Amino acid sequence: MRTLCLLAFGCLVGLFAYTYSLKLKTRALETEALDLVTALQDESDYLALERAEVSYLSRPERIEEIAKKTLKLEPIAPAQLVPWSAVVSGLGAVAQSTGQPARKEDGIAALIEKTSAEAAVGGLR
Amino acid sequence: MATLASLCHRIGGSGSAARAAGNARRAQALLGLCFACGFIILSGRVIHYGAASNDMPILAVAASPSGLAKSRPDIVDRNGRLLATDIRVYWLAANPKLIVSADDAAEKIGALFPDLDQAALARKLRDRSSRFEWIKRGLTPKQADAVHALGIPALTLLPTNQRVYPAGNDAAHILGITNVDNEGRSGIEWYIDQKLAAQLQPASLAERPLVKLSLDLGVQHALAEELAHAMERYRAQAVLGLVLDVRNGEVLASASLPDFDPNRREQAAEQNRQNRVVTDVYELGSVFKSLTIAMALDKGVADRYETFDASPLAIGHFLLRDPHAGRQPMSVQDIFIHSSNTGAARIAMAAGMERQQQFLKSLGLFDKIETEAGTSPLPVFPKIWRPANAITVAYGHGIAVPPLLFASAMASLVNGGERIKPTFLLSEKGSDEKGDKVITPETSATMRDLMRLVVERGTGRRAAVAGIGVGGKTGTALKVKDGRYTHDVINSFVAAVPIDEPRYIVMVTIDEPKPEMAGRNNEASQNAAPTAGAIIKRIAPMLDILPTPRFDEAGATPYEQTAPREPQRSVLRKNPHEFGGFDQGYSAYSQPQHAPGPRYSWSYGR
Repeated sequence: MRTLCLLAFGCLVGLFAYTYSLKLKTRALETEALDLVTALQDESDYLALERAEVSYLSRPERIEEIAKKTLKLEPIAPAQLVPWSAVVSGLGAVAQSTGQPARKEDGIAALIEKTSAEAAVGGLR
Repeated sequence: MATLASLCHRIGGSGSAARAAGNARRAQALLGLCFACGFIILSGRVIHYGAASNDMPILAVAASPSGLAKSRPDIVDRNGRLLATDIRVYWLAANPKLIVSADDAAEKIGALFPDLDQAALARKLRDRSSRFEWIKRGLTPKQADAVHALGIPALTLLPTNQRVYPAGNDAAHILGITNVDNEGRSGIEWYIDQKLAAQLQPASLAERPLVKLSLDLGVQHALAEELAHAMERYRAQAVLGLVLDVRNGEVLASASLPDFDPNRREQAAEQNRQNRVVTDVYELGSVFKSLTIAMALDKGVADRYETFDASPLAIGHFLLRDPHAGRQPMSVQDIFIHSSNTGAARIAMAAGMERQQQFLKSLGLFDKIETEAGTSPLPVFPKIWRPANAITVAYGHGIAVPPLLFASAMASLVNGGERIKPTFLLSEKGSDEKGDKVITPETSATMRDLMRLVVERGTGRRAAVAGIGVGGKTGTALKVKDGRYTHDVINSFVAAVPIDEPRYIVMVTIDEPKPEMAGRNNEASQNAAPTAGAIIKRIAPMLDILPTPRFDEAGATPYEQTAPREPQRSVLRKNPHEFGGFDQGYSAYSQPQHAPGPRYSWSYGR
């Protein structure tokens, strides 16, 4: 019986010691976690700041000024734009031209040819 | 155990040792049971903690990311470009009780922030009765580090959030402003707090919800810049402009000048904060003729070729003159193209007051307009509609509406007759949802054609852009000052692009423009129209507006026939004003010169 009691008492002391060390470890972990949370917060603040900075640096006003100063490009004129279908058909023509010369209907050329032919027939020499 | 046995002996009395021994055993068993229970409970707890899920334990000292000012959602444009965001800043405060040398501290702090008044700061810090004094708000992390490095223990840095607007002045009026506590005070910022506050609670600075606007930052900048050019060029008091999607009412750009930098809102004068597009009403002048003509066409009052008398018209004691109209009657089409006041007045008279009011009401021009960027005041219109009102409203006087409301009405005229509601948020309206029909698709098609003619050979010639089909209407309104009409004007141009199948309404209004040079007039055809043209030229590539084919290559025939000579031409030549034509290099990007349509010149422009 005595042995049992001693054993139980020993267990109790051991358990106390274990709980205490567990508590210390938990506190340490908690501090570490708090540090991490703070670091995370700092990083996320920094990220937000950088994002704002990038947006500020790429605002149209600034880009436009830089482009005017450094690039030798003219702004796109509306007439320079073509629909996607035209680009695709253009690509098709290029692909075709590798095999044999592409024959593209040219309305204006046809018109000029027609009128000059008519002029020739009409005796305007 | 001996003690326990003696205890039992005392309790049980001397009568029976056996009973005492029995008691002792029972007590022992009871005690054992208690220990066992204790161990079982402890083991249970340990097992419970061990088996608990791996969630982060809730920390006793949870860091509050925004102690002083609340965090707000980010605002982005339709392409996701940042328009407004929060950054971490620090507020610097001091506890004068802890300061050793106030002058020394004030000098050190003053060296870091030259804008601070050092003497006042030293006075503040010398006040020993105080325990808390604000020194400076809005310190950047770098400045906060510098303050920290001073090593003055009495200084406290309080982290907080501050709203910044990376796009600067662009869209300042739409976004609105916040106060020092980061609460929305106007514009979208106010709307977010009022309407979206519950849905959008930010967790941290990096992970915040987004509010996506319908604005396009590129278009917005182009619009604001061209308007600024116009304001300078025509020495105007104010200019405003907007780009509106005619199909779903999304506002792609909206600018009102003079404007302000929302990052330095305290420096902005009160009148600069006014968003004229929404919160002001204007008498817009002849652009209203579009509504008058659309009403006449839609209600069957007249067709486009029917003629009306355009000679001077008596309204009570007042004679309404049209200096450029001849004695011959003008067709509805010509009244619109050349902007004849008397003609439009007679069309309105033919339609009748009832119909006119009903039509304007159906377009929502008598109601205030509520948008995310603010609510407009109630339009100003006659309470009792008299014949004189019907006549003046026909050419846009005697009725004052917010420009955004008018642009939405114009959108209905060109989009097939569907009413739209302007919005600054991305529209959730599906393509199959249809709004109320205001006019028939046929009337809408005729209106598009008429607007195209205005730019081809009417008052809007200088709004033409090479390669793009532009249609529009000019409007020159006399400005009211102290209750009287003056010689100052408010000029507008409302354009629809591409006019064959309009996608956008572009509206420009210039308040009190001066003639560009001596000898030129200051009508809308001379300033608002070229400004609108310059804007369209710049924004067309951004909005995928492709050039309108003018020539059918396969068929080798032009799509458009040249305009036939008209009988009015000889009459109209008398006009001393205006030498219309194409935009002659107004913008930084000058247009190629090429011959405009038939060059007969006539404009009343009012």
